Amino acid sequence: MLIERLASAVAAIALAVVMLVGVTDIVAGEVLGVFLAFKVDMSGTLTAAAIFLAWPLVQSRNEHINVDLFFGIFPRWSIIPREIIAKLAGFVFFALIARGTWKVALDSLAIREKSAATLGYPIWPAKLACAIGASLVLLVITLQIGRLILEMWRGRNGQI
Amino acid sequence: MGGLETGLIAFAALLGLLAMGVPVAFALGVIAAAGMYLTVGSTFLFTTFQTTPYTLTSDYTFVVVPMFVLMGGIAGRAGIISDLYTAAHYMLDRIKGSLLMATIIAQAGFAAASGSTVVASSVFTRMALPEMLRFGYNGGIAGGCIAAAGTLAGLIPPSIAMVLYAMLTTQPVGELLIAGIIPGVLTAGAYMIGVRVMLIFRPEWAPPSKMTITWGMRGRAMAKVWSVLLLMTLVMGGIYAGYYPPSAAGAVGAAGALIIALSMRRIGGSDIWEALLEAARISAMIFAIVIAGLIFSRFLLISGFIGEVRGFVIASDLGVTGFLLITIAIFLVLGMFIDSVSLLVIAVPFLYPIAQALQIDPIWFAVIIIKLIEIAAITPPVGLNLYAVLAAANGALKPGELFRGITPFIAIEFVVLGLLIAFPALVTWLPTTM
Repeated sequence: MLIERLASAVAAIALAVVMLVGVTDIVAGEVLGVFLAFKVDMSGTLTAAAIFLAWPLVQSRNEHINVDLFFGIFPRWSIIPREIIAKLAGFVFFALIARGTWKVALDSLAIREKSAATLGYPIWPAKLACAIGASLVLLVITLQIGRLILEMWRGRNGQI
Repeated sequence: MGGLETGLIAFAALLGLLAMGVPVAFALGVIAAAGMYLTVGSTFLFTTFQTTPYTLTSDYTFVVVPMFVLMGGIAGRAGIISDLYTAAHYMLDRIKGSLLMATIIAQAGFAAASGSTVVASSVFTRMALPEMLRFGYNGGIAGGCIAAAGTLAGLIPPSIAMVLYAMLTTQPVGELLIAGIIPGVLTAGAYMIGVRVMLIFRPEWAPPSKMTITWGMRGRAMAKVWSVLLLMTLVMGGIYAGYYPPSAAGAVGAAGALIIALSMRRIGGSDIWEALLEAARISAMIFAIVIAGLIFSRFLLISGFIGEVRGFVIASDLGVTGFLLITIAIFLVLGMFIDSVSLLVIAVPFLYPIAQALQIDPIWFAVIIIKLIEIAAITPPVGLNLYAVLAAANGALKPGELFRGITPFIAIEFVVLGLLIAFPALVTWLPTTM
């Protein structure tokens, strides 16, 4: 989906900014004696946003780590039902995260939250990005479950 | 129902879900959620899921995870590893088993630029295995050496496993990273001695090299190793000297790798973009497991499981030795079925509080745990590094051949583990000098 690629592109850019801010702070601090006051807040919030926004792509590629050692002991017909159970577990996990993160984001948005330690660095956009990222994972999982149900309906035999 | 029963049911359910193929993060998260709901109700459950994910991912200390992954990704794409391997090969050419030795040294060097054991194993399989097979080396020993030396990335900074341990136990990241240096170097040395001893008894495993390597070739190869030395100095030197915290060291390391790669004209825009995307994806996978693991450990705590197990261990007078033997047994058994990161996240939350109660040095315990994780990564049938080698070997190695080849290296790992247990100063001395 285009939207998950867009989200992961934002995540990649966020990481590039974290790297630049981190190295600029050290170089400027050592050479000029000037440290970036917003470094800690900016690096932390952007990393959080990057992680949450990368989750949809990880989910759509089924890249979350699992143990495949015991697949052979299950009957062949159980492949799709087990995939659906795995996706449902993921849905519950990310639904709880999304619920919590939306609460955090909306509270932050309501007061246009800014960093207390550094003058005016806005925190709310990163929190909003986290909530969007977690919700996109739910969308991806819903589509995956829909596809699996369709495949089960058509009688597919495959592997997880 | 008591805490012990609740915890045991949770672990049984966890293993059941993992066996069915449910991803580790989801299995941990769902069981923790169900357990919390049944034990203390929905308010605590929702609050935990509201605070833990954002708090953990936005913690400046853990910015180091994506930065270390990015640094490894850029270093890998820039071919820095290949330079290291060639230099080590040329310098050790006159020694018996030179390609095995070169693999160990180059992987120790690569470990200083990348914290991922799996990446190290797969990269070296593609690079070193064909070379060793071409020279008539025993395939099993060659593959075993690559898989085993890949685990050096778990100890030598920047180690992602060490950062994960810090996340789970709130121990200082910098001290943990520095504590891994001597055990990492010791392990590499032990592998080299082990290989030398093996070849005394089985010289046919590594026939002598037929290549003619001049001192000019050696000099040119060594001249290319500066990039790894610079990266090592930037990351380890900066942390050790206290110039910057590990998070900043991660950013400096990633930027350093990027500048080195660009100055050598070895990467382009698309490589940088791929490295950034990969860092985001890998970090997202790692954080999903750690978030779920932390929530699971909170469930074990509130259910009373950890308290009861800790009370049982103390009352049964097992002592440090008994506890360590149980820890080793847990990692060996679970390590045969569960990958290293998941094993760390599942086992540390209930082992660490017991270690604290027994007044075991937390930094030393971390290194012992990482060592056990490394052993798990090369223990058949699940050892993650073994599969990384098999996948990258592309049919050139059979599983049985590799499983036989890894056995002597597992024995060497146990010797090193014994040394670290017998002489804790090997771990604890260096962090005290920071």
